[in-house]
Amino acid sequence: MEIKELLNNPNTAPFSRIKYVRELSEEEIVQFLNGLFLQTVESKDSGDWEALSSYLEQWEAKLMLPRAQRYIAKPYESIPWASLRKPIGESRVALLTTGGLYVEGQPPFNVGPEGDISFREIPIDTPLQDFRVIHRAYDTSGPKEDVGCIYPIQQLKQMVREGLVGEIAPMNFAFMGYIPKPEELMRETAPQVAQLLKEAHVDAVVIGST
Amino acid sequence: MGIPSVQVMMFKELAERTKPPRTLHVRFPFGRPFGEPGNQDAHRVILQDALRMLETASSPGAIVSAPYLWRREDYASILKERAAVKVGAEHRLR
Repeated sequence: MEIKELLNNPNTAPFSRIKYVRELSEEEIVQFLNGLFLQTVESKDSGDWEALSSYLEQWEAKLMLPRAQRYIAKPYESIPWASLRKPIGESRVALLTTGGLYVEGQPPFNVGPEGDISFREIPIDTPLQDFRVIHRAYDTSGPKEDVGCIYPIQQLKQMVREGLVGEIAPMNFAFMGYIPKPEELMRETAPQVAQLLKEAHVDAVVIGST
Repeated sequence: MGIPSVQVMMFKELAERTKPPRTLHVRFPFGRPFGEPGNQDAHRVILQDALRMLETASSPGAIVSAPYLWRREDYASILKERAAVKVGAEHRLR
């Protein structure tokens, strides 16, 4: 059996970050597996399973760093900044997601390798059963079962009822975050959404990234 | 005059590189930024934390790492504690 075959991703975690460990050199894979064995035994002896979880997270971070470095390095000269001008309890809040959410009747996002910079408008009164999800780069079974894991509209509505949030924007927005050419997004569709939010007098935005 | 925003994401290394205005970092699997399907309490806690960052983050590029454990966290207790703190604060104001 090849070393890499030892690291075939379990079905329960097809999109987990730890899958990239297969791409390491054989030496690094051996280091990972040896450390995993030692940590597992230590965790069993001490009852501290959190230490095993941390071990996996440390490796995930190591694996993700070079990937982060491949993305657009500096999208802006200085970090955009706007202060909140009213308390959240008086604010109109919009909920956005990059999770490939859309509404029954709208065209799905294009999940081909070229990506998709388009957005969908998600009305506040969309019935739960009308939500749809499509994406190329993550396990969509979660939001298909419960849209709240990427778009917690029910909890946001509850916060409005409790007076903790002023109101929700009548129109919210969704993207499908597999976008190999973010420059196009920044030039075309992102400014469109910003303009729509501005025209709708939205005071604050929460974005769920996937 | 811009619109303040906060982003909930699990890819911390990317946030550190691109520096969005405000980032709430969650140690959750890709695709579940607000928590597991069906866990309304988790969705509520993360949402509250994100909204709180809009109110409290003072420097652009702030990244706050949420301490919650995937699946093993007791979100109902966290919400109860928060409600108790709020009631306590209201009592003191009277």
